[in-house]
Amino acid sequence: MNCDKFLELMEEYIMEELDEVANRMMEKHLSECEKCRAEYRETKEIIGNLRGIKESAVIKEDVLNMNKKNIVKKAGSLKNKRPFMRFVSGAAAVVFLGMFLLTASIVAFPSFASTYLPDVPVVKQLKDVQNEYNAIKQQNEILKKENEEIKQENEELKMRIKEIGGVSIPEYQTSEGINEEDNQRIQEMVIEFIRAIYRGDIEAAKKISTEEFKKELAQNAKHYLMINRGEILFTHITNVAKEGDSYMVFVRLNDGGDADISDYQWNFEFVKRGNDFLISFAGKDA
Amino acid sequence: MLVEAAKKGDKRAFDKIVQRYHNELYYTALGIVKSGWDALDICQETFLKAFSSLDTLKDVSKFRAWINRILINKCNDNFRKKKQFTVVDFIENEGFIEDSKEENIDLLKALSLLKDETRIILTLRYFQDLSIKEIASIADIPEGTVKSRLSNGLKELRKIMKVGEREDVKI
Repeated sequence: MNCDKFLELMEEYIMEELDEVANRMMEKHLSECEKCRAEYRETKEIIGNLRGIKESAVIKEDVLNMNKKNIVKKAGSLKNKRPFMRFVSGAAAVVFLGMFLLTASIVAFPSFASTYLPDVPVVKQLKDVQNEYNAIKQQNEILKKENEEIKQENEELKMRIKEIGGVSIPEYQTSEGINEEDNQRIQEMVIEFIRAIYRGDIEAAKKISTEEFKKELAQNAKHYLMINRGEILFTHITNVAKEGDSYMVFVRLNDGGDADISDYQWNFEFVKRGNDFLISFAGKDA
Repeated sequence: MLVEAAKKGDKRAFDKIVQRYHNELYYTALGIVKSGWDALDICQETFLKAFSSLDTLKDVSKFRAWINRILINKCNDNFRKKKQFTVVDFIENEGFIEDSKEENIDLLKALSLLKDETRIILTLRYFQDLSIKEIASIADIPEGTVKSRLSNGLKELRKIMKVGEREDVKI
């Protein structure tokens, strides 16, 4: 035997698949040829290791077991629908027809059938379908109710997002309100006032206030000025409500300041002087 | 016997078939697709496909070759799906691998570097101990081709393992 022949048969020799005669020839060459001996040793080691991989727990046993269980489970349901089912379906069909005629109602039928033949797959399936149908029906009713509630809430709140003084603020309609143009003007003044006091610009706040409120602002500037607090985020504003001669509006904002009081509300009252509106009152509210 | 029973819809027979063939099919799939989770999926699909088409298996004594054929087809489907990503995740999957020997991991990695056609033959041969004849019929290639792929694959594996050893580089 030469080296080429040895190498050709080496794999089968290692796997012990050669016949007696071939085996002896391989052994003989192995004892004579140093080079082939080295090849043989290395290859045998690699094959041994490859074959050993499946025995060494490379993959956790529970993962494998889980997969096995899954397969058996799935295969079970798969097979259920096959020959066994065919037989049962055939035999049961006759019984069902009789029962169906008796009960004469497709809705009552599954319940009726399940009382008498609970273990027959077709009955089980019918029962499942019925249960599923009922569950879905129930769910639909709940959803419908929820939708109606939300719709009602929305109508009550009548919320919309609008642009006031360059920012988008949700506006809640809490009252019948006034005409849209005045409403917008007053809301813009609210935003302007708040921005002014946050800038520390009491003069700008005074400019849009009545004479009496100007005095109040001058005397108690400290109370109104909101310097050194955070960025203002207007969270919502109401539409303008008219009561007698006053116009009222509330705005809620968050200035990112002290956590407890960062989210709060300003209440405003306006009066109309000629064609203009002026702030007659502004007060903080929790 | 077992396969005959399964053919008739015996659930216990399914269970036994899964117990008997699962792990070897699993390791074969792992060797071929190189991903633990994919191999589990392929294994599952293979069994389900086999059980659902048992009727088409005429000669029950060929069950093993037949189910392996399905496995190889499923692996090929997997290759097609994941052509762009050939990620080796033998060991990347935490919680998957038990404390396996380092050299086994290296060997699996080395195996993953081989050409698909070679790797398939090697895994069928050494993870499942299939005969050359059986592999030829599963892979639908002549026995001579099986032999040459085995011998080339082994040679290449030895080379890769040696390089890894000498340079002490993680493959």
